[in-house]
Amino acid sequence: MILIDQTKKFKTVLITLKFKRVAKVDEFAFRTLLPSVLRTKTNLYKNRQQFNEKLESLYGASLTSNTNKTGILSIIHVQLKLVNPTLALDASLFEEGLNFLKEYIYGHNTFNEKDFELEKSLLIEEVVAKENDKTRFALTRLFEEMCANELYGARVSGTKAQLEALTFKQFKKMYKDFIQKDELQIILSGDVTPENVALTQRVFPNASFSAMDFLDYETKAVNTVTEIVEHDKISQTKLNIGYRLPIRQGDPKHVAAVLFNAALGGYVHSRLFLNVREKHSLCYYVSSVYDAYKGIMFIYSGVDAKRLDLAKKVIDEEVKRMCTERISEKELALSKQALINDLKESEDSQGARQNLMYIQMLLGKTPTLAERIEKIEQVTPDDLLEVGKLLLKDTVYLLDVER
Amino acid sequence: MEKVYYAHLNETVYQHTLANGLQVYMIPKNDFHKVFATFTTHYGSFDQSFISPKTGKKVNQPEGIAHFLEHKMFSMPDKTDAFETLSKFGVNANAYTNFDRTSYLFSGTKNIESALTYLLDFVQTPYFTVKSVKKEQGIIAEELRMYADYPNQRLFYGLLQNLYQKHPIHVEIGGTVESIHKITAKKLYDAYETFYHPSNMEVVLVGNFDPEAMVQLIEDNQSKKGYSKQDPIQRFMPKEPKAIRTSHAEIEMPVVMPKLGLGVKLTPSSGKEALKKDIALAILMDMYFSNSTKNYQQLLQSRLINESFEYTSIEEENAFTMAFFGDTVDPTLLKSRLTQMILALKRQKHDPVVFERHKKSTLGSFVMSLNSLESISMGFTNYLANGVSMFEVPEIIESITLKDIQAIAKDIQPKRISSFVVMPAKAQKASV
Repeated sequence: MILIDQTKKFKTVLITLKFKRVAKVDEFAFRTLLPSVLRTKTNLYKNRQQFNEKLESLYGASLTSNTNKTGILSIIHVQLKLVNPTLALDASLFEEGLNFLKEYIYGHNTFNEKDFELEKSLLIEEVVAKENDKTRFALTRLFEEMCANELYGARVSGTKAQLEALTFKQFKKMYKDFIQKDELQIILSGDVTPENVALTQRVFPNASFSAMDFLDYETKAVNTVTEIVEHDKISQTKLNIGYRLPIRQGDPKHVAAVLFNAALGGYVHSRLFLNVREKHSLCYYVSSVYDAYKGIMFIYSGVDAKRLDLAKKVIDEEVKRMCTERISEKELALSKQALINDLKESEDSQGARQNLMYIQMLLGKTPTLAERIEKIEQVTPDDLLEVGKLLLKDTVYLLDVER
Repeated sequence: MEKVYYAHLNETVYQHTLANGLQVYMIPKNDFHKVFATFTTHYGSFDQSFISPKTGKKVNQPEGIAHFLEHKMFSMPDKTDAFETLSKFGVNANAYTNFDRTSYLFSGTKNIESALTYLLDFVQTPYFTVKSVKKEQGIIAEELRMYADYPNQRLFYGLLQNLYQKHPIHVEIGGTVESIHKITAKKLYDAYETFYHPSNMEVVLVGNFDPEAMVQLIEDNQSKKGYSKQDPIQRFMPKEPKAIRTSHAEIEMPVVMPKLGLGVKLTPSSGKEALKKDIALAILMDMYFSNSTKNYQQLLQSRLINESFEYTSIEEENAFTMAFFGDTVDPTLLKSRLTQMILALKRQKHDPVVFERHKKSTLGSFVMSLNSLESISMGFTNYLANGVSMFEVPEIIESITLKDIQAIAKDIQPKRISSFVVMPAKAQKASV
C-alpha cells in the first residue's frame, strides 16, 4: 500500500521511502552509514559526481536521507523532493525521479571497498564533530546516563567505535539483509495524479504497510536522583534534567501529559520560560520536552554558571508546583490554544503532514483534526495533576564551565 | 491598492503605501490554514551612526543596540510582556535582528485581526526604563555567551573580521557583553524615534486572509496614531578600503577537529544589480564546488574535507563576499588547495552545459523555496532590500549569462583572500 497526500497546496512533490525494522544497537552504525554509501556509485551512475549531476538536472531535486529511532523502530527515511512537474513544465519529471530513487536503493550489483572506507571515515568525523554543539552533546550525555542499558540511551548514529569496527564484508551482508527484510513504506504527497500512484506501484512492487506496537516500554525503577557533572571549556553551563513519565502514546492520560509539558516548558507562556528566564533572567533558553514513544520528559537549559544553584532551585520549584497544585483554567486554556494552533499549522507543512500520516498508520488510528482538537479540549486541570503524580526525577546532567 | 499576478508561479501580490509612508505587501494563500505576518523596520546592526531627526545632530551608538532594542520592544508600559500577550491570542510570536533590519512576526491560525492590531500597537509603543534595561542586559549577556560557544559562529565572524577593516559587517549582530552594558534607555529612545517611523517600515502578510479587510484594518490602526512626515534617514557607513585587514588569524576552542574559513572580498554593487551578481556568484560556486564537481571530489578523496564542507555568498550593503567553511584535518593544506582552485576560476573557460544545468537547478531550488509561508515571507522581505519583488527572481536567474559568471570570476584578487582557523583546545573533562 502506498500512502497518498493529494494536495495542490505546495510547489513540490515529495516521494518518501521509509524502511523499517525493530532497532538493534549493533545495527545502528550500518543503518546510519548505508544512505551515504548508496550515493557513491550505482549500476547506472558510476560515481558520486554522476549521481549528483543527475539530481541537478532534475531541476535541482534534492535527495535527503536520515536514519532515526521512533520508539523501538529503526527507520531509514529517503526523500526525493521534486518541483511540482506542472510548474517545471516537464511531464517526465515524476517518472525520472522515481526511477532515480529505485536505482539509488537497489542498483548495487557491486560495492566498492574504497568508497565504503571513505564514507565510513567521513561519517566517523561527522559523529565526532557532533560534540562541537554543546547543547546537543549535553542532551546526548543525559540520555546515555539516564538510560544506560536501555535502547533509548544508545547513540542512534552509532558510536565511533561501532563504525570503526564495521567491515566491508559485514556491510555487504547487512545490505542484502536490509533489501530482503526491511519493510518498505512509500508516501507520496503534493499534486499527485492517479497515474503517478500507479507508476509508483509498478516501480516499487514491494511496498507494503503494517501497523504495529512500536512504543518503547523499557524502563527502570528510580530510587534516587543521579547527578552527573562534567566540565568543558565553555562559557555557559548546560543544565539538563531527565524525568520518567510512564505515559505513552495511546494511554488515556496521553493528551493530558502533552498539555502538562506544554504548560511547564513547551511554550513562551509556560512556567519555566516565564520564571527561569523572564523573572530571574537566569538563562536565554529553557524548555521541556515530552517523548510519548518512550515515556520520559526532560528539561534542557543554558544558564549563567555563577547562578547555577538558583537555576536548579527555581526549576525544581516550578516542577513541584505543577505536580502538587492545580493549574488554573486560564493557564490550561493557553496551553490548549497553543497546541491546537500547532496542529493546524502543521497541516501547512508538507513534511509534517507526511510524518503525521505515517505515525497514525503505524498506530492503526487515523483521527481527524477535529477529533484530535476535541480530545485536547476535554482535558481538565485535575487530569494534569494526575500526570504530575507519575512524574519521577531520574537524572541531572550538567556540562559545566571549568571552575 | 496595486495588484500584480505572477502567472508562471501562480502567486499574487497586493501592495499599498499608507499616508504615513508605511508599505504594506500582501500575498494571499487561501488553501493554507495559517497567516504569517511580519512588521519590519529597516534598522539593523549596521546602523550605529546616524543623524537624529529630532535634533539634527549626529549620534553614535554602541554595538548590538538594534538587537537590544528588539528585545526591549516587548516590554509594555502596563508591565505586561508583548510576547506573552501575543501567545494569549494563540499565535506564535518571534522577532529577529539582522545586519540591516529588525522584524517582529507572528504566525497563527485564529485571532489574526486582533493579533495583527496588537503587533502594530506593541511595535509602536516604546517603553524603556533604567531597571528594565539592566534586567535585559542579563538575558542578552547569556544569549551572547551561548553564541560564543558556537564554533561555527566564531568562524563566520572571525573570517569577516579578517576581510573587513571598517565595515560593521564584522561586528556581531548582538554586540558584545561589554558593548551592551553601554546601552541606556535614552539611547534606545534615540534609535527608536529615528528608525521606527512608519516610512522606514513595512508590513508583509502571507497566508489565509482577505486583502481588502486587512489593508483597511492597517489603515484604521495607523490613521489613529498621528505620525507626522519624516524625511529619509541619514545613516553613516564607514568607507571600507578595498584591501583586507589580515590574510590569516587563528583561535582555539574546544572543537574536535580544526575548522577552516576561507573568504574572498569582492566588489559590491547595489540594488537589483547586487542581487544579480549574488545569484551569479552562487551559480559560479555551484559550478566548481558543488558535490558534482571535480574540485569537490578531489578534496574529498584526499580527505581534506568532509560532509561539513559548505560555501556561500554574503551580499550586504557595501559588502560582497565569497566564503567557504569546513572541518578539516589539515587547515594549511586545505587553504592552499582551495586558494589554487579559486584563483583558477579567473582563467577558466566555463562549460555552457554545466552552466545551464546549474541555472536550471537554481531555478528549481527557488521554486521549491516557495513551499512554506515562512520562506516566502522571509524571502520577500529580503529581496525588497534589493528593491526586487520576490516573484521576479526567476526572470533574474534566467537573465544570467556566462559573461556574468566570468565577470565575477575576474573580480577575484589573490590579495583579497583571507583565512580564519579554529584550532582544537584540549578540554579538561572530569566526572564527579
